[in-house]
Amino acid sequence: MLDSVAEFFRMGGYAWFVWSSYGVVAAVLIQQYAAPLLRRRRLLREVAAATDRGDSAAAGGDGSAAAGAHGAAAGATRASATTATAAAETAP
Amino acid sequence: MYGLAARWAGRLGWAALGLFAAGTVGGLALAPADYQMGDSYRILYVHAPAAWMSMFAYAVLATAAGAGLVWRMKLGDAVARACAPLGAAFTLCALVTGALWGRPTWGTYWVWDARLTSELVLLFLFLGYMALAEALDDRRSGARAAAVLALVGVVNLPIIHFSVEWWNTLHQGASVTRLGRPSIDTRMLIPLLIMFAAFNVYFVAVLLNRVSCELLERERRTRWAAEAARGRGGHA
Repeated sequence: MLDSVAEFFRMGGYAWFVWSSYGVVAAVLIQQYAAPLLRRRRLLREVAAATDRGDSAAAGGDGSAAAGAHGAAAGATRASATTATAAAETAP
Repeated sequence: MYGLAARWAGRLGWAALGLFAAGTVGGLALAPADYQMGDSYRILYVHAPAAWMSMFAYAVLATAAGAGLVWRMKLGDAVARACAPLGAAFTLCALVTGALWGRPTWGTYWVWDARLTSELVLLFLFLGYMALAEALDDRRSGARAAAVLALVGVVNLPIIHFSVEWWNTLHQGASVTRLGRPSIDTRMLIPLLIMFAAFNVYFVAVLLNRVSCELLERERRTRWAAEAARGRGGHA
């Protein structure tokens, strides 16, 4: 039993090639799966924080102004409720 | 639409995990060893699907970018942007596993052969698309420039696919898609087909997650975004 497990991990002498192949693919696929989930969690937290201060209600329904506001989040969370909209519009 | 995409992405993610598990067990433990390559051939189960998905992801990227370019579809740009890092990841997997398979089989990790070189070009196309899409301050002109690159790069796809027939290369020809009977044992073939399915389902799941993120980011100041934030990925 133990012998056959050891034999399995030896992969007929190709252990390094086989296991590192599967390892690399697993690592890359897990990273790719996690990246958007982490980004969504961060985004939702930022939106929730903005909503609590009330600036989302002011901009409610105005999606077009925010379309170019990629990366404005950091600025918007630091700015006060009244200047947040302006900050979003001037951000790159 | 955002909520729907996120929900389906979750379901497909679990489905992909199940398929990956089944395919990996089948490929590593149940399938017999190859009579020539021994156990090293088991790299096939991650190499071939990754390589296939790298081309498939590029085809989806180019189609979506083309739609964004011609019809000014914002969703097209969003899908194309979502494809790029994922496609680059598949390409990287194909290249690394190919190198790790090439060493015991051909005696070298890398050779400037037509198949390998054109796959490397594909990696640079993905990276070039990502760089160009983010490079310009104006998001829309960035998307347009990147879409042109994506469309020009489409010529690389048939080059990759037919490289093993057009040139004399070290890389073997197709053994699964050959018409008539596939030249591969059924016990070897079934795990491979499961792995292909796993990679495809995984691709759709990650794509949905990325596109829903993109939508959320773009429309973060709308009411539905605020509602989604309150309900933590709830309804919209």
